[in-house]
Amino acid sequence: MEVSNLARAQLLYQQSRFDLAEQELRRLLGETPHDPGAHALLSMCLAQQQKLDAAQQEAEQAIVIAPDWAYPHYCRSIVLEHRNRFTEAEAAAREALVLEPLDPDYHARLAGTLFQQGKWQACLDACLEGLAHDAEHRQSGHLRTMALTKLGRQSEAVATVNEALGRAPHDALAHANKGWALLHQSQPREALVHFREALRIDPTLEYAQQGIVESLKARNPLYRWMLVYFLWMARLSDGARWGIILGGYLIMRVLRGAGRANPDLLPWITPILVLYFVFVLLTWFAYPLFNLLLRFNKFGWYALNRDQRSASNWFGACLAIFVGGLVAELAFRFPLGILVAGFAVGMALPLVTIFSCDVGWPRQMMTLFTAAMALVGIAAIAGTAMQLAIAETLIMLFLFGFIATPWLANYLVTARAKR
Amino acid sequence: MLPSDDSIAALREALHISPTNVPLHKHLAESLQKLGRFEEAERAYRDGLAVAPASVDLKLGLASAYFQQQKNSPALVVIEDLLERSDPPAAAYVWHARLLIRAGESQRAAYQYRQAIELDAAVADDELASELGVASTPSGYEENEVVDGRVRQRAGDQPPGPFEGDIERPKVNFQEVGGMETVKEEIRMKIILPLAHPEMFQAYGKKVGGGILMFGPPGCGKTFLARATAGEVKAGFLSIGISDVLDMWIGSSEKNLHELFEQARRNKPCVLFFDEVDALGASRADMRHSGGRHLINQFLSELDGVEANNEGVLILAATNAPWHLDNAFRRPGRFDRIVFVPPPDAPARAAILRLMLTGKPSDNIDFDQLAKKTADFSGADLKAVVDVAVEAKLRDAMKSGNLEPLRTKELLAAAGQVKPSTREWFATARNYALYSNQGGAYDEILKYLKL
Repeated sequence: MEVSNLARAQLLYQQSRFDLAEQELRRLLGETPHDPGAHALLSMCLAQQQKLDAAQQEAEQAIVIAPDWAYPHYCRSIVLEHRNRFTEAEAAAREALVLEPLDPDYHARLAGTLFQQGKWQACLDACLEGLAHDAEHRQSGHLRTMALTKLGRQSEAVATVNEALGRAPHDALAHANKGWALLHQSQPREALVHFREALRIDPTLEYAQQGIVESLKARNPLYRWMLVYFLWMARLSDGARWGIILGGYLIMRVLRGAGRANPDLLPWITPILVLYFVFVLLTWFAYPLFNLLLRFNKFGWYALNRDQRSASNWFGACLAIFVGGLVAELAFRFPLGILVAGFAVGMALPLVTIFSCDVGWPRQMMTLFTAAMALVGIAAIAGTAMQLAIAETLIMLFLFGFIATPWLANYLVTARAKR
Repeated sequence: MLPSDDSIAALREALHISPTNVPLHKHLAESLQKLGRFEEAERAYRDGLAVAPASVDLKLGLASAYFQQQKNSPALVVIEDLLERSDPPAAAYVWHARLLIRAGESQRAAYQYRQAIELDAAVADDELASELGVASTPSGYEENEVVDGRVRQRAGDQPPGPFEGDIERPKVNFQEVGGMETVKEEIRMKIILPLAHPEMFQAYGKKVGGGILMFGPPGCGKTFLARATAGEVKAGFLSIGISDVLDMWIGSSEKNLHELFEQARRNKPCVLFFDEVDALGASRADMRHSGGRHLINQFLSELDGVEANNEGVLILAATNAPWHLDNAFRRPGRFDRIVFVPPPDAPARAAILRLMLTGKPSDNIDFDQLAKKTADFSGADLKAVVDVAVEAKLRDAMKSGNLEPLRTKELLAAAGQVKPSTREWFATARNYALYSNQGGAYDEILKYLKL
């Protein structure tokens, strides 16, 4: 009966009935507690149900029972990747490869962990090695395309994905990959076709939904330019990204200093400064702003996920307050109008950033910071209205928070909470 | 020498004079059989059995008459009846073996034949024995000896019979199903009316039978509705759950599936209900191993009624994941009606809660307010609400020692604790409805979600 129990569990797992598969495996393990295959499969079932601690324990149990079997290491690597522990996941994948160096599944596993760490070239190499053992390995093929896209080798990426689609035209992930490669080449209309096709085949593919959102927004030329910048930034390593942000900031400081020292240069420098300021604003707000504009496109609005919709709603609220404050100040001479408008501008970035942070400590930190900013801001407005002395300090504090926001946001958006 | 028509006439005359003479009945029937007039022989045996209902000889004769007319099912009924006696006659085992051969179950047939000759070597039938590859004497052959190119198996335990589900006769009917008027209407049109007025459907040349596929979030009463359908038409109800289906996958046994349909056909009118049918009919493109396709193809051909008539067999199926079903399921004649079973609406929720609270101590509960606060709750979720409230009440009762009735306030508090389980389902369903709605298969979901 043991064989049939394991077979049933495998069948249930294939049919994505993970809870039933778990029950079946636990029953089986009650009879034969030292079956490494059952432990390994159980760890996969638990990982699919997001019971990550237990999943890791089961994978490790399987390794203890059968230390020379590669598969449990492979399972452990998957669980660790679910927990956002990519270096450990990479080590586990390498362990599996030591035991079973010819299996393309394990090469693909390694490539996946490298991709998550942003090591595009290493990822590509791992894929190629896997493909050397099985030229039609799907997972390796997908990762190769994704790595090529990130390396900026778009035409190669499109070529490999075309090949994959020739073999399996109903591969949703391949269509989505092609869409992203085209988007990186700034061809949103063509990309949209492929994202739609991907979603038709697998409507639950989040990767393709995000592609739809981006390609719909990229029909606007302004956003298309911003997207080129966003995607280019996404291809860089963490260090390079910080370098560019800091570099830009420093260059502008130097230019401003030069302008102050030589008033003759000002007509040249001022437009550059203004352009840079607009550009920075766009890097902060293009994303939620154009998501908000998607409201007018039914298809696009439904494609947004919850976080994106919340972020664009908050952004919309800030925008409304900003406009309302300005109008009150300028048209009705309402004394606090400009302060309220400034408050809205200050709050917009932290509010939308909350929803881009990974669930866990990064999002909690951002939420706390935003709440503190809001408190200080409201207190400052109230203090000014009541003409309290402390109001000026509060305004300074709010301004300080405003300047600190982009740096903090940049850090928290890229941080991943370990699970 | 064959009996002549004259002697038959004489026998009939004699029976007319002494209708209770059992040996005479038997003689007449046997004579008719020898003449090849099996139908008359069957009648003669039945007349005899009317006089002596317990006669083993007559029953065996009747079974043989059925057998000769290829009426296997009635023959099997008679023989199984004999085998259930405490001292079954050896001949009954022989007939059973013959019938099993016709059903293609030679293993069981061989077993039954061995039983027969062990009881009484005189019943040995060389022709049957050679067909089965069984020696005519109880012992005297080697194990695993090859006979006619087949390996002889040891006579061990009786091999298992085909898969048999339990046919139940549900007592529930549509009155006990709260809400769901549109779904009930569909079923009425497709299943109940055809059974009640077969002549109207015949006039248009339409067959009675076919299938309805119900889909919707879990816990919204799909299974209950199927059972109530069977109760409504007073038909048998054969329910096949996921565990039965899994066993079929593992054995790759298309035969079991066939046997299930056969069982339903034997017991018509019968409602055959497949719960979680997506486990059986997962999209063929999804299934990598070819063993799976056989089962799906077998299921489809049974639905079509290619080899047998599905007249009077109603097939209901339920699934939480219609998108995993093979498109071929939706062809006309298979599951041509696909019905969305939404979570209960407010009046239905009130009705369900009222039903759940009958018999429990309660104090004029405001069901309408409760129904309003439990939007998106499935039937199963409502049950959880009542359970939570009752548990809290019990805890209080343990402390204070006196039983107090349930109040609206407590039920509302319990409703706050239970999360509706349908939301997750709708999150997935929404994606399918938005992006993969070819042919409008999910229009009802879009309508429900007001997209």
